[in-house]
Amino acid sequence: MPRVVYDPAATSIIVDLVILSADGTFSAVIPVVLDTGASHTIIANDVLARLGYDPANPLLDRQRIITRSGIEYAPSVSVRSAAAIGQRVSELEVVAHDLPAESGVDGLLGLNFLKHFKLTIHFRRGVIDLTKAKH
Amino acid sequence: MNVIKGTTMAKRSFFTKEEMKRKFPDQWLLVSDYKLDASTTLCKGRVVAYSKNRDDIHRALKEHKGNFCIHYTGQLPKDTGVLF
Repeated sequence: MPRVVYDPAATSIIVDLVILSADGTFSAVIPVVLDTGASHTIIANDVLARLGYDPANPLLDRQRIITRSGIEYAPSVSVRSAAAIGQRVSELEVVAHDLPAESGVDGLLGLNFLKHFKLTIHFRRGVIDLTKAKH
Repeated sequence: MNVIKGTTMAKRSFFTKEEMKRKFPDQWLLVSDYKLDASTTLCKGRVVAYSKNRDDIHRALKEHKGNFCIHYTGQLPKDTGVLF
């Protein structure tokens, strides 16, 4: 069973997110904060650009997002594959947006990824299990 | 306080994640040749650049070819909350 152990005393839950490049030839791993309150997965602009997704393309769809500074419209791109906590989702829509460097992350793992699975978090032990949801 | 300005190319060495935390405390790392465990979590890799400043690592990405991993060895202060 895919399982991640984290420091239960940590301020937030950080996991690694693996993203496949636009041409499918290489991958990136970035730290993201697990956020069950976020509708979308977010990835930093520089990371998406290096992976060949061109978040600066003005023709990209814009996702309306609510941030700490109000409402913004951020580019939305479909990544070929994203994997975290041992589980993978193909063709995941992600929002290109930069979180503050002080957060220690380069993105956010949101519900549009997590909803494909059964997520169990044991907060006192600092253990996360992500398993395939049974229908 | 030891402040590192700009990206410094690290000696090309393989480190486990625990070793990275000890050798590069509170730094952003650019890691290549990385290995992940079954939970797609970083286990070890080759540190090719490190900096206190995330922007330096993002700039270093432009020069890097192939698979890469960004890893931060620090932690938020216990008295700092996070709201996105």
